[in-house]
Amino acid sequence: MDLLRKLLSNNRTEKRTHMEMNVYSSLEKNMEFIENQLFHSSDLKWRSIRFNQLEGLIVFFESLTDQQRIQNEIIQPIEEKREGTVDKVITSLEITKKSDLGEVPHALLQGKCVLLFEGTVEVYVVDVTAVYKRSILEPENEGVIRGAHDGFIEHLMTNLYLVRNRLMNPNLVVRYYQIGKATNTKLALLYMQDLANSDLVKEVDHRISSIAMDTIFSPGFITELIEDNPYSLFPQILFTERPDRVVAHLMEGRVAILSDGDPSALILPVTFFSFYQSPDDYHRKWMVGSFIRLLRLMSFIIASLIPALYIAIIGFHPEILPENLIFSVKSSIDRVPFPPIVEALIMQITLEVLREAGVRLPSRVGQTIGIVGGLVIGESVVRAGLISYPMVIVVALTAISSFVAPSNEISLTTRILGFPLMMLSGMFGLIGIMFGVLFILIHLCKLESFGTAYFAPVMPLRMKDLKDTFIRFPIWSLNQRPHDPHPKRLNQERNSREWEQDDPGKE
Amino acid sequence: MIPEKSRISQGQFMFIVVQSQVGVGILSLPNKVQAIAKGGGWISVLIAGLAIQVIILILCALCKQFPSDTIYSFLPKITGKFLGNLLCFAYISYFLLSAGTVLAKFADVVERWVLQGTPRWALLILSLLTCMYLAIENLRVIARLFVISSLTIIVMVVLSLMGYVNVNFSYIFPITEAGWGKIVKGASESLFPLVGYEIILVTYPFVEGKSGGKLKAASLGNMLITLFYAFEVFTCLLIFSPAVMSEISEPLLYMLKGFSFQLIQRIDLIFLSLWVFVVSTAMVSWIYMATVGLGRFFHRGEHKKAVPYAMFILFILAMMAQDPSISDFYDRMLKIGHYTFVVGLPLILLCFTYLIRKRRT
Repeated sequence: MDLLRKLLSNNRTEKRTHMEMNVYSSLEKNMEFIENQLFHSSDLKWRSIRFNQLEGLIVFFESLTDQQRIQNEIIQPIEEKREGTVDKVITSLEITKKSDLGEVPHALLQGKCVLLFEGTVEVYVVDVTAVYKRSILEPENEGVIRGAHDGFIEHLMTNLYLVRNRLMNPNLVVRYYQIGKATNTKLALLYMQDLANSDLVKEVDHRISSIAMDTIFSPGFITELIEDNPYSLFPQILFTERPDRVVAHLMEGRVAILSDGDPSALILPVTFFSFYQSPDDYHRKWMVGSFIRLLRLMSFIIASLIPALYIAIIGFHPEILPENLIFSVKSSIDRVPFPPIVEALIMQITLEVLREAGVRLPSRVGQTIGIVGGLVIGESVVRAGLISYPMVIVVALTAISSFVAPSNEISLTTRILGFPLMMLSGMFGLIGIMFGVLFILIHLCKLESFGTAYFAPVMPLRMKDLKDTFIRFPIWSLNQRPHDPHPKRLNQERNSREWEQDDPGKE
Repeated sequence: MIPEKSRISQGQFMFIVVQSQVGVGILSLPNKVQAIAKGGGWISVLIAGLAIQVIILILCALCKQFPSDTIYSFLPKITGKFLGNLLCFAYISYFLLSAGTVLAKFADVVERWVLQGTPRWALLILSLLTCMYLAIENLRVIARLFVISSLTIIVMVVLSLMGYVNVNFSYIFPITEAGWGKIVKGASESLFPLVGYEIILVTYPFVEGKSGGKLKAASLGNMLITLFYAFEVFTCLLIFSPAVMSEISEPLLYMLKGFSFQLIQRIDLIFLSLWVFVVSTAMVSWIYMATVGLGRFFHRGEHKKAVPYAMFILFILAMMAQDPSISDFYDRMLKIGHYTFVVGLPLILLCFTYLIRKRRT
């Protein structure tokens, strides 16, 4: 058994092979070593220079470095001065001396350029990384009416800038990680030193640094590698492309993970209700915001339950409906050859196909989808007597309400949850739905991610946190942080409207 | 000792008691009580609640002697190993039988009211699987769900409040029509729908805090449930005339069947659906009580492993109860079991422990 385990796990223990070796004094030997290490890749370029009467080489990847900067910051000053100390001559911000030749290829791959001199056993590594990035735009899938319209992009430094710029606080800590043995993806872990629970930070740190995988190309990978319950349908880590959302969550004592090359930040630990909070709620008057949030949560229930309820009522207990309603519904259903469950499945799957097609299709062909989906499937299917009108209404309602959720992940989950519930209601009617709902509730109260109950503050119940769950209380009454991420300081402030206290006219 | 992970707060303890007590009995209780105590049936329920309060006092006093033991670990300490283990098995069978009866009655009602055509085994499997999913968890998770599902009780009360549109107060007068003797007899009848507080015996050591607080929580839970039951019985007594009442076995549902909203015509179906929650939680708590014992004997304290075969036993029990003679047998056994294991034995054990303590000091 032990042997087997060893055989299976031997890949995991293997560390990045890194051989320590000194820089040769001969320029040619050094160059040969570097070229061999990088397998004579064609985009590896070098240029010879003379400094302090020594032959030298500048080695760099033309694909990764900004050649304008090499020209301005290294070559030009060296050509002008011709002698002196390298550190002083070069005008770049970041220069490091290395005596280990083994590190050089790695540095080159990070977009740095390396200066080598004949007879010197040290190399200079200068940061001249090229930055090609798109501009900061509003994230398309998380738009808001009011509030900030900037969003993360694929460049880690820009994203960090967006967060730091909003949260100018020395307590904001950023930790870098490099994961993925082959891809060397750069990650940043962000948290507030004085708020985030240190056990949480330690746990996240531990899980990130123990990821053993060679390719990490999306934050989805990271989520799957660090989440607690991989077999659950519910998303346990919140994806967002909005810096304001990240800042709000950081200030609640949560932790955010940003990764280079992807515009989405991961926020953890989150509760079910975080997926239904949107920055929009806080830009509106609190009553309006509460109304809209309630609407969103209602839409969760509608999207997952309505098809099932419809099947149960039509198939098992039509007597629940008032008489005149039964007649109008029945007259439409009687022409349909399928039982309601088959009808519902056909329509739900068609809907999912349409949705997926809509994502892939280029916008020029998008109109076709509208016509095919709206006219052909919506109208003709009823005319042909395949599906009943009420069913089309039910499916449309489901689709629309599932898209209300401000997070794409939860909206998919909602619709998928509908399928087992539909099956149950097809077999057991209302009782089946109730057992299904009970099962989901049990599942929700079992889930815990990073020590936080997923369905907090409802299960376990904490009245104070309900202030910002189903409805949003006025900002000035939210003087405590939510308890679920176990922040170090729970109280935010005592009284936000201090002017009311100071008012001299009021005794 | 009790691991940190399965500790529960006193509030949660209260809801555990509440959810364990509300079960299948509520639907038929008004009919049974009315048959004995006539218009004073709701007083019977209150008396039963008081009686249970006394039993809770006894149980808490007993558990207090062994603050970190469940009944399964302190029974052998009091009575010696052999007798103690034997008694533990008796308790386990009592709990399993209770769970089986709840399940059987639940299936009966659902078959009669909602799903006439559905095979019984399918319904049993559905409910057992759902219960199993919760029962394998530690007490903390179970308690979380119990707290939330207590909301359904509030909805049930609101639904029955609608009955007050057409009440007739003359039905309950004179209150002592049947005489106090009958009312007390009715109380003994209404004791059984209220069982479930035995959960104290198993969960007591998991609760945080001092014994006084625990007692308070359990009593409060019992009080809430007694009031809820008394309210439902009272409502039914006001709505149905004594003559009609004897004809209908589930007055509560009949009462709701009569009302209608604009959009929903059959409120009884809504009520029954909510009742699914309540019954499942009651079942889970019985299963939990039984499997903690089984886990202690056969699985080194992991009650989780005992759940699957406990489910199988329940399935068989509930399938057998289709025959009315067998379900009557279950009822009789439960009555005996209740008086011996929950009332008699704890009292004896309590006196016993006091005597032992006194002799030692």
